[in-house]
Amino acid sequence: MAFQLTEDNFDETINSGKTVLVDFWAEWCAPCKMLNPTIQELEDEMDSEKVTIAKCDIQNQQALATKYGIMSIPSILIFKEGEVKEQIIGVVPKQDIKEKLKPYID
Amino acid sequence: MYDLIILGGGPAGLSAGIYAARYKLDTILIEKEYFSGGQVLNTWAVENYPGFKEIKGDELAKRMEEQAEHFGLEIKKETVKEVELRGAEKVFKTSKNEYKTKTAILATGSKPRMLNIPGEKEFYGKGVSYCGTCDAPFYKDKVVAVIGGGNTAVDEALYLTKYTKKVYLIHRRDELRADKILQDKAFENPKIELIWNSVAKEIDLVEDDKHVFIHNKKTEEDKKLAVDGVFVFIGYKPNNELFKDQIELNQYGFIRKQKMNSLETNIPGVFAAGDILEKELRQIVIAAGDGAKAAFEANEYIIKHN
Repeated sequence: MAFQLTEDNFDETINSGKTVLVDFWAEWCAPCKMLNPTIQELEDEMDSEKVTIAKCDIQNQQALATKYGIMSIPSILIFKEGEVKEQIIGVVPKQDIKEKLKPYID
Repeated sequence: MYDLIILGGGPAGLSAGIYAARYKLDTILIEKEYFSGGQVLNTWAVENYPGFKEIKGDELAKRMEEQAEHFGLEIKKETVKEVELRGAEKVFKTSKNEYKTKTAILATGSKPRMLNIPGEKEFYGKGVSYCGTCDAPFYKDKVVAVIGGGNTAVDEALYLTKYTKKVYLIHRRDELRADKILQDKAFENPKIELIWNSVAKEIDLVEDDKHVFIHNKKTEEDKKLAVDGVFVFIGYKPNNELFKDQIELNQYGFIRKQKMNSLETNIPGVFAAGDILEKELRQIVIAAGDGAKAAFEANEYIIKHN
């Protein structure tokens, strides 16, 4: 199960020095559920020393969704040093997410 | 070699799977997503599938999959990269495996069509959406436009009114195509304002001046409509990429029916079912019916050619 982000740990996490992938999702969103296994696989495959794979439930974390301008889910943000570097919207293949992550890992 | 390979795990493919499994055909179904169900998964509430007054789309999909697996259907969650359908031995290559079969059922369905207007791509996920049930909560007390006039558009417009202050339903004709029962609900809903004979020309959702430009085809007038979001439901396009060079399609890219009473394509032993097939009405119940018929025909074909 990917790391769950809340307002209490969000800033700390994205400023941890590691690259952070955040999957914004909600229980009512069917495509989010379809993306879930992909996120799980990414977590299993990626080097956890370099990248943190996290999830943010927008139902309980509306302020975070608003702060980052999330208007559609599923939505993935990739953070490096606290800044948004990439946004990926919708259900996309794992390979596409890896491609987007790549420049921020090596 | 398998008796039957079913491509696509929506209602057509799963229904074909249930029938094929009960015929004891050696069958696999290949679905590219982790969850079977196809477009049904994105449907909030299904109210017109017999046996259920109302059922959530993902619940219906899950039940269909469980039923098919209960009868012994094997479902492979793999992405097919290439197919060769023309020989007596039909080949499906996925990223991991190569499968061979005597017969095939193409049930790849369709995907939502895009408007292809300026701003649509740019604001995708930032105000442009193709899923009302996913994104409606982001538009609490806001104003949105829904583009389209079919069942999906009207259904999603109604769903959006649970959250929004106002929904403009923008349709290119002077009457809706949706079922009368949905039309009546839309006309009665005080939050929905119909805009007839109009098409969206440009979407611009930059802060402080969010709007969509619409063009009235009758009066030739252009109008700027202030909205916070735009939801697009203007029909579907066929998922035919894998076999478009082998299977005869109609001018819109849907698989052409060769005979009135058959779902066999131009290639013997290859059948089509569900939304991918040319037809007047695309519904879950029809896709399920097609699936049953296609499995029946595949079974007959195998008996005849053994």
